[in-house]
Amino acid sequence: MPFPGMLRSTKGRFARITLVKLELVHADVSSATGIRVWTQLRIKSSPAPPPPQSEIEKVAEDACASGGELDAFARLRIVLHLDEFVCGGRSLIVVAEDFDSRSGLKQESRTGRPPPPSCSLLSAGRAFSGTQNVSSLQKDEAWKVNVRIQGIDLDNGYLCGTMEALNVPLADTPVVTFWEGELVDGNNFTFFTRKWEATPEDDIRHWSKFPSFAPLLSQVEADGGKSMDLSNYPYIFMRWKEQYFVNVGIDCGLTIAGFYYVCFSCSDGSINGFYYDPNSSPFQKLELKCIPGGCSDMLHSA
Amino acid sequence: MPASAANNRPEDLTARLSVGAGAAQGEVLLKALREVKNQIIGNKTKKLLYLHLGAVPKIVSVLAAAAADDSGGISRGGDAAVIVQAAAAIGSFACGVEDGVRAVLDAGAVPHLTSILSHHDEKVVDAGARSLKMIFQSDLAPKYDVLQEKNLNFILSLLDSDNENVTELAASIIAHSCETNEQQKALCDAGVLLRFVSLLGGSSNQKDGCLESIAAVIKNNPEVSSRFSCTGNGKALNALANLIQDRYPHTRLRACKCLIAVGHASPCYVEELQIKTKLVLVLVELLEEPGQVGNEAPFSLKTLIADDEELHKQALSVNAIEKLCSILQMSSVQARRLQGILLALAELCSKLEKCRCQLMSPQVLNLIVEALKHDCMDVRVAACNCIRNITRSLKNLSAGCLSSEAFIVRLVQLSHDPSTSVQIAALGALCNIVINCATRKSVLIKCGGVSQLVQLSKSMDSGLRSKSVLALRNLMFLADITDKEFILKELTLCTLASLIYDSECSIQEQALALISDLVDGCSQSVKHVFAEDSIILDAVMRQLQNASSIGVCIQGMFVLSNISAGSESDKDTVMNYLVPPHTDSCIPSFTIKFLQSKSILLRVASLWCFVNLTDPASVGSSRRVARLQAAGIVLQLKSMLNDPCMDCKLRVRMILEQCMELETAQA
Repeated sequence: MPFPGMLRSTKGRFARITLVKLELVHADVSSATGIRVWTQLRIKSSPAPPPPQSEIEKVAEDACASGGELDAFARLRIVLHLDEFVCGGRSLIVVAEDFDSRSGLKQESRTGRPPPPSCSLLSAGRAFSGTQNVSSLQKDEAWKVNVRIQGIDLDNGYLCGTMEALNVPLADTPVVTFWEGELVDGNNFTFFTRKWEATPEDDIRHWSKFPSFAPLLSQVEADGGKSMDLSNYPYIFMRWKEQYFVNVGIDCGLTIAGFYYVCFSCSDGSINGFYYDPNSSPFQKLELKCIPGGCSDMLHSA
Repeated sequence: MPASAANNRPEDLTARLSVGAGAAQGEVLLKALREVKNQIIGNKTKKLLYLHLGAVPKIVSVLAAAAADDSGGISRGGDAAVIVQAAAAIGSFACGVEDGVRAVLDAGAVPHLTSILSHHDEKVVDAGARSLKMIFQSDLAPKYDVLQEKNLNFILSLLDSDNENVTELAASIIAHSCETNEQQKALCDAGVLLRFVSLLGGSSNQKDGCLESIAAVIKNNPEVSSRFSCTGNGKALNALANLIQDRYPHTRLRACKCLIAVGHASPCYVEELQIKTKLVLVLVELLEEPGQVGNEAPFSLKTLIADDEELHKQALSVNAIEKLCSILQMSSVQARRLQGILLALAELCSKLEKCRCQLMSPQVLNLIVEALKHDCMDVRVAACNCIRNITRSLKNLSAGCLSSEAFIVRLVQLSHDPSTSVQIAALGALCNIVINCATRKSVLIKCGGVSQLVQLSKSMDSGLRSKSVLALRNLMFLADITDKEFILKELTLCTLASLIYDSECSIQEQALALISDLVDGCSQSVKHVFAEDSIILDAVMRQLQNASSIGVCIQGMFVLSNISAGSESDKDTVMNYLVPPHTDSCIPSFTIKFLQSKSILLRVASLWCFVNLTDPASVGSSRRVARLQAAGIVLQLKSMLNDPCMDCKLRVRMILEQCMELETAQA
């Protein structure tokens, strides 16, 4: 939640700086009122060369000293992020982190960030069915695939499930794998994978295969989609990475070295995906439809 | 046998412990006291023997008489020596043996020992203070009501003393007696915290005593804790921060405990990650200490990192899990230590998958499972909690971890445990274990787990009811039709209905969710909600109409939604409940109310009902759409086209498109 003008620059000496994080490192309590007065601040990080720390500290101190509103947040977390720091008499825009005053625990910052994307069609227990096209230049081939969501944790951008491939050549039985997924929420995960041998170019090339990604492309190219609010977007983008074979050994002839770029439609629960593995056929397409069934919430765990 | 040895037999010595007149008798008494004291120091067997012979009341009488004789103010060296020996013997009886403390207290030693604290001879004062300190280290010692002015003044006078034994006694009394917020505030107002801070530079014993008392005075009291933190402009906190690096492990542990207490009572003062990281580091090092420090360190570590993912990561990075596991694998671990280790491991596994992975070695898992059989109840609870948190990992569960029959059977047995805490903890672990694996579900069913859970769902204890219903619900989740039928047969519709009406909302919710899971994806199971004169459906509807809890309404609407995903007649039944036929004015008030609810989940659950009721593939949908229109529900849905929640908006569109499709088809 932005609090425009909560801190006000009084000096106007600096050029525009982005993403400077100030940490209030010391606070005194007035014994008469119990209100804390911030007296010392520290810069945590800045992507661009920041102005001298002493100068920023001075500005921030002045701002704190004159910002009566800070007292209202005296019980909040003492770390402030400066998302934007524009001087010349203009407001500083700051975002305060959540702070659980009962336990004193610092929580993952949600304030100022959009809520995670959610959809009742993407919940624990939901089943999906369809195919994975594994065609190569030599032959056309598709496996029947069933997927079941086993768990989902929106706050941490996590989901997991099982994938069953049915008519796999050389396999006597359906091959079941367990996968874990990352929800692209701009908070826990962005569109850039930064692992599993996927470069940002690979990412853009695969995401661009989904028509629903087109409106997001330019922003993603700029910052991986960090600043995007995807909570109201009717598609949920994910990466699914198979972790192990559930019912067969690793010598079953299949590989789980790669991962899937996945696009889920919140409207009808359909799933499209592309398998990425530098050593496998490119752009193997996964197409799944939601199997109609019941609906329940997902809070099962004790 | 030499004569002197014969004279030192406990029976003879006890016989000589009587008050007599004359210098010669005084000498005999003094020798006897000294001998008894020397024999019992560190010797539990001897202590018990002398207790049996009735030595304690005799020694207390000697002390009382000698103290009375000596109260005139004129020093009589003989009596002072007797007092010192008697006090020391009494203290020794009270050290480490509960029966000893009881005997000392029953003999009325405390007032006599207290009276000698004002003796002019420093040795007597030392002996009295040491002896009382030992008594006040026992839980059996009487609590000192510090709210009484007289008592408070007495403690303050002890604290003002220059004698370290006396100030340590004051610290012991406070640590033992200070329990309520009022007492904490009274002590703080009287300035004891300031005094303790000034004493932190003293001897090791004095530091330890002060640290224990500080922890007792600030524990869970934000006001006192804040005042303490501001003491001397942060001097008090700095002193504690220095003491976590003290050369003595016991002092380091106590200083950690104090800082943790400050952190919990007034988080703002100890929220710097740097301090917490240091605390994690110190406590992890202390895990390997022998004795009481090693026993208590895991408890403190657990308290420090409770619910804090960042600190879990810190602990992981300094190999906390590795160290805890290596202690777990030692040949014999005391119950208290084992409990602490299991609780610390449970905490570390409560959030992070990385931590759980470190416990996945068969040796460690076996040791945790072994702890389920431990004689000590607290260890069994801790082991259950540890398993509950490890099994939060769907990744590990899906990989088949903890699937052995013997293990599941053991947990089911623990759900019969005489201790309710063990039962609840075992049920917590079972809840997670049965969630996503057909094999584990069938093991539980085969070993009689279902009937046990059903019995517990009828318990008078709401905690047991809640956990057992959750376990049954998880068992029902994605179970096959045979298992679903079996569970329901054991549970009976009547019990299920009574759970829907349970006095606790959370249990009502779980019972309704269980029905959702029963009906989910299984058309054959729907019949049960209509059986026995629709006892279940009636209960669901009654809760929807009357429930005050949003959670109950959400689960109730999921039940209706899942039923309406069924056959034509199932849809019509739900429709008739939501929009009774021929009585347009009698739409149950909740239908529209739920669609207008602020709760996203309640709106979503309600909308899913209408998605299913207007399914174009169903022949009766046109008829139902007409009724929804007549009842004003379509109008309400149209007003939700711009619902702030994307999920709701999409469901509304879905329903309206289906309605339009049906209308077009009819035209």
